[in-house]
Amino acid sequence: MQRYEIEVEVGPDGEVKATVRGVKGRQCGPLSKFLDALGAVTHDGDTPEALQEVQQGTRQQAAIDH
Amino acid sequence: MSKYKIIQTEFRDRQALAEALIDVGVPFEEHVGGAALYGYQGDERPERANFIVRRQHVGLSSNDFGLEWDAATKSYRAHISAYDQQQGYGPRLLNRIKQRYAVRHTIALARAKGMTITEQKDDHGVIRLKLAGYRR
Repeated sequence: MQRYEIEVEVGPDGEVKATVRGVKGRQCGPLSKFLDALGAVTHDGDTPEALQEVQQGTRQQAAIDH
Repeated sequence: MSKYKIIQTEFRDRQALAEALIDVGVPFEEHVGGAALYGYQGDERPERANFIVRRQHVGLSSNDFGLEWDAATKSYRAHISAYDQQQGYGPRLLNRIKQRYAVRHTIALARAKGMTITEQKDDHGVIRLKLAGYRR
């Protein structure tokens, strides 16, 4: 059993931002699927930190290949 | 890699909406079959609603505020008069209800999945919930 957390921020206008923590990779997407019942999902993707990790990894790989 | 999603709240759950109105602390009426809204001079308006906040609780010289079930979108839509829209009374009330609704509905959904929930409010009016669960 693996523990995970979903951080939910509800803004003053009712906009919801939900971030999954403690799970890596593609597995974390389905964990917050149940929150789609709250309304219209306008974004569903990687956090800015996660994108940075990917970009760093790509740069490191490019340096190795070079 | 962490994922996040942004959701624009829609009033889809009757129970969470009733709880949100109680949280906001504004007197309201619930009419299962819908009831008429009234203007600031006591005039009956063409709109009907299932949840109604009467005008004296909305703002000075306001009209009734209503939330009406829309079977097509399966959600409640707000009836705010042009005057209250312009004065900001209606949108302010709507936002307060929306924030509490999102909290109440999130808690209900998380409870149904057996998750533990903690709630805290920060200085900028943002409410943070931590939902904790376990996966195999």
